Amino acid sequence: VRARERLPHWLTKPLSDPSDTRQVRAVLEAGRLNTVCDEARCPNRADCFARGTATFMILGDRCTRDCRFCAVSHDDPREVDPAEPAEVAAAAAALGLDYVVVTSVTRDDLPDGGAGHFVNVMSAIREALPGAGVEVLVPDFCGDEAAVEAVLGEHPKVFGHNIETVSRLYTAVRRGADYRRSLGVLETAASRGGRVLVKSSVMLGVGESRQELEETLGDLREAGVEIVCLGQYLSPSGQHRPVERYVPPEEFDELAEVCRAMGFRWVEAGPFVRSSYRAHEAAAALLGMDAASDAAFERSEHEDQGHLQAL
Amino acid sequence: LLIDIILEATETEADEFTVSYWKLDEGDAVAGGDELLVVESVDDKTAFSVAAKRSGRLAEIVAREDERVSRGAVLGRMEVA
Repeated sequence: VRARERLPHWLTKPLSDPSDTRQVRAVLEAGRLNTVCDEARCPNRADCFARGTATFMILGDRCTRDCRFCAVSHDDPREVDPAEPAEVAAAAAALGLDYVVVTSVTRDDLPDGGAGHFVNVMSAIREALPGAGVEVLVPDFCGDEAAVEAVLGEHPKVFGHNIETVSRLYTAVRRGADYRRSLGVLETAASRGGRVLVKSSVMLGVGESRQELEETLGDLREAGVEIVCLGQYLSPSGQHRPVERYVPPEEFDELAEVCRAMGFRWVEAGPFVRSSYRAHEAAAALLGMDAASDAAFERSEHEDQGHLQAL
Repeated sequence: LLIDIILEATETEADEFTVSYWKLDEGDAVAGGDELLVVESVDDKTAFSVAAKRSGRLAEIVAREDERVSRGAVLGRMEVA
């Protein structure tokens, strides 16, 4: 009875219960907010919405770049909505989030790439939810270090910027972006010190070789990235780049081990892994670990016992 | 008693799906929670399994492989006690 499987069996998930996602949907609609979950047609969106979370996508729903892997619409951008920071903060509060993930479209039309708007959104979230952690997933701001610094100045727990794919494929799938520039954004964030965790993601199955992938992972570590996410590229439509290869779950497991051996402190790897996947868990575990490590260090200083390793 | 197997997608999932394949033949026994079929959605870039809500027997396959179906469609029928 088995007919052809268009997608491999590991890319099958159960349909959600229709009643589970209504609360999040209602809050998002009330604030007229965009999420990357919807705009990028994330395969995990029903699961995340059912768990009461979403990743806010600010600065509109039109991207000034036209990446061949991305479902977000490419069009002339709209005016930045000055009410958006307050709306995002209100939605995060209505959802009772203690960890808020914010990303955006790329806005090459804005002098600061939208960094100032990120700052306003983060500041509004902090005001509405003083105890909440904020994670940002930013565009490359055309490599503008001042823009990166401005966002870092709002003290996100995690600063994310996705390298997305290997250097060779940038021209084909990430026009307008630059591999070295993206590494530079991550490096700027990592070199700033302080408590910010730097994160990046790579899509697999775009056409990269194993060697190229490992080189990219090495470049990310060298740039100071501590959290890495590896997920299966899924083509949004026939107009987008087709999937070159479906990577089986066991290969993701093996790659996760490779990443850990390279020194990444937190690795998410699996077919459905996306940048914001289990974002809260990584931050809580690592920041909790850092806090524990600090406490242990202070204690050991006191007791002259040498300090515990963070990992 | 015959009950419909309905495609109950959430509002965050796609409106349109394609039936990929049935995991059972008409007449097969089914336990509640068993996967009956897989549908695929271009919009969600993934495949979804549809599970039996109750135990019984797969009486009829209504939506055949490669058929396009919308949310709320009757995919098949089950005979339950």
